[in-house]
Amino acid sequence: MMKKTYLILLISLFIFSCKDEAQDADIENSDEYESLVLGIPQSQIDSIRDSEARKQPILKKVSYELDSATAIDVMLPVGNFLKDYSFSSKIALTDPNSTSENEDSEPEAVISIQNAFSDGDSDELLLVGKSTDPNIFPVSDIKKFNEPEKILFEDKNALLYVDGFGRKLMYYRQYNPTNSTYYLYTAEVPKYNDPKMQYAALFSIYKKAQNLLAFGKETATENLTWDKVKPSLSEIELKNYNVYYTSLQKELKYFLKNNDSVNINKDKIQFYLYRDEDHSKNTFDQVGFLATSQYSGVFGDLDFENRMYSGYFSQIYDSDDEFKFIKKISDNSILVSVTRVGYSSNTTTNYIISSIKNEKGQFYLISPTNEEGSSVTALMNDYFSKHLKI
Amino acid sequence: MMRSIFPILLSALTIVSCNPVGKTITEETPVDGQLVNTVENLDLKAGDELVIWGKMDASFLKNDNVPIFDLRYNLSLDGKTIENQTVPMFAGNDKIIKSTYEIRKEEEQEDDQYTDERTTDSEAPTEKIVEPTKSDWSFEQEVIRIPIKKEGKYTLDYKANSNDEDADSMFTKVAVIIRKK
Repeated sequence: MMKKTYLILLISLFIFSCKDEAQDADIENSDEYESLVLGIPQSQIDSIRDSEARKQPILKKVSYELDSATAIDVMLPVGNFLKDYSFSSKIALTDPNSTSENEDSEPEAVISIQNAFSDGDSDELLLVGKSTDPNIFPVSDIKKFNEPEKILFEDKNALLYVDGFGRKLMYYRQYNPTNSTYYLYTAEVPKYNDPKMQYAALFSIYKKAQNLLAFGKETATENLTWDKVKPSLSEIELKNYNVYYTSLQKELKYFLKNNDSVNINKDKIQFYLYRDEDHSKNTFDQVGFLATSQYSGVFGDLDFENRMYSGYFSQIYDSDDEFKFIKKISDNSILVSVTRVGYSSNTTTNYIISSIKNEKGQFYLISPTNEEGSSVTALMNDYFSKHLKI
Repeated sequence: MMRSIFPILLSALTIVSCNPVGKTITEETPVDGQLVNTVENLDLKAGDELVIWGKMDASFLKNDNVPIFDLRYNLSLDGKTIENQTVPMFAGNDKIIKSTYEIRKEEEQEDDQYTDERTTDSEAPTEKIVEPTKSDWSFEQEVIRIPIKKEGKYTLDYKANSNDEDADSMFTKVAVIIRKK
């Protein structure tokens, strides 16, 4: 008898020992169902919302040409840009079951709003069109034509909700009577593993939408520093940027030896970090040298030992392309331009080159940037070159 | 006598059934050759062994040639490097577990099932040329064991990349798993 019991026990233990805890299949009351739809408790969502709402966005004006005759202006946080897009929004604006096509109510343009981490083109869209009806595409319609499982926030112009698949979505409408133009901002949050990050992204997008036409709030880019931009970024953006800089920090600390380099080349963000053996031995700093010499010429004529061209730029440029010092950004960083001489036209791209010195030697960090060297990447690179973190 | 053996056997079996290769500390993490991966707060005691495993999941392998990767790692305790090395990953044939292997059928006979997955080469298939054997192979392989001499909370930074062009193929998925024995 004893043996048998043991045997059964043994078998059952064998079966259950590696299994996860059995899941509760019964979802009886609606509270449980609601928390299942939300993914995390409402109180956590509220605190994420408050924390994103407190952030003061740093905005710049961005223009977009609808056609050769008309352009629209919008305000976007630094690090964001507009891109052409030609498909429709994931949020239905009109009755998807209706067969009648109403030409008047079709938006004229669908534009994708992107940042360095946008996964696809369709996550955040701006739909722009003309109408005499200031109440066109009301929130009540959006609720009717889509299937919000749980509404997180709703007012006259905004709807933030979770749908039956757990997707977090936003609809935000604005109307400008002076040019009879409506602006519809629709967004679906990318599927980050952590639901907290999804909500941080959602409320950050909501803030972006609220400021879309806030033309009085522009920040002058010449005075921007990473210290000013950092508190304005959403949790998710900071986390994403940190992935790169933590990796660069470890490369400096543990992995880059001799003339080793690392090339982080993602869709919308690029870094090239390398150690220069010769400069390390001779305590030579090409960033200071280029600033003093105000170099302007072709790569091939650079008159000091360097791995700038052979390491990074040779992947993109020929040795007779033009390399020019533009300005000093700080003691550690300079802005340069590289011009590729083409058959019909020349293309110029700007780069920030930062010098990083540590006990292991002389390193350089190169990234593409804008004409002023004021892109978020440039601000972060310059800060990183001094503090080895962002 | 019998009675006292059973509980021991029982507990031994339950432990063994879960732990053939040690305790998994991090689940498989896909390798991104451009970025350093970091595992923090590794609770290790003297006598433990930290074991780094590589996971290969390859389709359409030519002649079973798996691309070899270099794994660079740095193990540190309180900011001080304990070990910093570069070791090959998938270089030999030993210490392989969870291996599943299947030969891809010849193209001529597979019109229906397999052609969709193939790249749409514009080259016309030449009949008589002997194609290399294509296979699907997925396995886990021990890369390195690191014996721990001092108790503490360790940090492991690692990076894996390969010079083999097959390593970049969308049909080759490589991941790293950290275990402890």
